[in-house]
Amino acid sequence: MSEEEEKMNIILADDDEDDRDVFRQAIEELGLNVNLLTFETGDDLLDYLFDPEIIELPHILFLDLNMFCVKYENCLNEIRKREKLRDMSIAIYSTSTAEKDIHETFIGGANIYISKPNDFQVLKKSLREVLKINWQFHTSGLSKDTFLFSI
Amino acid sequence: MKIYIKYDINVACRTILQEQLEKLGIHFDMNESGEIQVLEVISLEDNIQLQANLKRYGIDILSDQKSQLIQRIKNVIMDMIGREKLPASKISLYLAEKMNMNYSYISTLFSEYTHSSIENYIILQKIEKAKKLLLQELSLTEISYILNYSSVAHLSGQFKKTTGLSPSVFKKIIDGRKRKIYTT
Repeated sequence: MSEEEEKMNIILADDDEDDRDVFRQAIEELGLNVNLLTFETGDDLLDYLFDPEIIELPHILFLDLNMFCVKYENCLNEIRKREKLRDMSIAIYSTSTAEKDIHETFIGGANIYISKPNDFQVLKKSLREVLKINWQFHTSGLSKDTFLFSI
Repeated sequence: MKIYIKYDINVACRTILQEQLEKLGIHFDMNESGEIQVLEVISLEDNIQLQANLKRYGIDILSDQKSQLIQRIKNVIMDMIGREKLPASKISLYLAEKMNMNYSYISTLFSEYTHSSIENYIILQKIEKAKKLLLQELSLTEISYILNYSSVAHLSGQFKKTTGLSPSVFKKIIDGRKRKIYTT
């Protein structure tokens, strides 16, 4: 299968309905060949990802930094512990731009840190950048261990 | 004199494909829907020949040759950046020579099929190498020499633009991750 025909699989986990809608709209307007799956809670997300029946994992997961989990203590940590999910990029987005938060999120295993923009056009631009660079890592066999991108 | 014919386009097509593939000695399987599974790697020459032969019958090989070409471009770039020291010649000239193709053709094709321009791809690969060297404790001065950056500032700037992080912050994060793995 050639690159341009291969679909990008994306998951978004965000408990805010408005944010999910905005995200979906931004992704749609980018006009890329994308499959978007959304989750409202961290528990639903992790139940899905940890399901052994799932064959097609997302290329990238967008996760709200403050995503609420009951069953699991810390979404990011739980995901990074699983060998099966090693190749999946994790993009954390947050309203915080504090260097300390960015730092800790990366050390916790995120690949991408997005400071949530208020402007829709800026969000689109950021998402385009993120998806582009993630696609390069995915299709060119680059090491995910040192894949860090902050925008 | 007029003759009347009746034909089955599927049979015609399959026969042409079969004959052309056999002519080049390519082993293949064809299923009912006309999908062809080639049982070996076709050389680039054979591929171009096959494409040209089929073209006469109005048959096109879909994108596959292009994806192969993209892969070759990527390989040349990776090979170039994987060396101990990058070649001093201009990258566009180097690529055109290695691929034996016009650079603007290569560059257009690349942008069309990969979500990235060739220039951005090269920068990305160079920064990937810079990361490796950084983690091997090389200094930014040494790294900019190896990767042909005119100055440390140029390297740092491109690093920051590509990753959103400065080289020193990047290194701190990776070191922080290692410590975390050791202590948990």
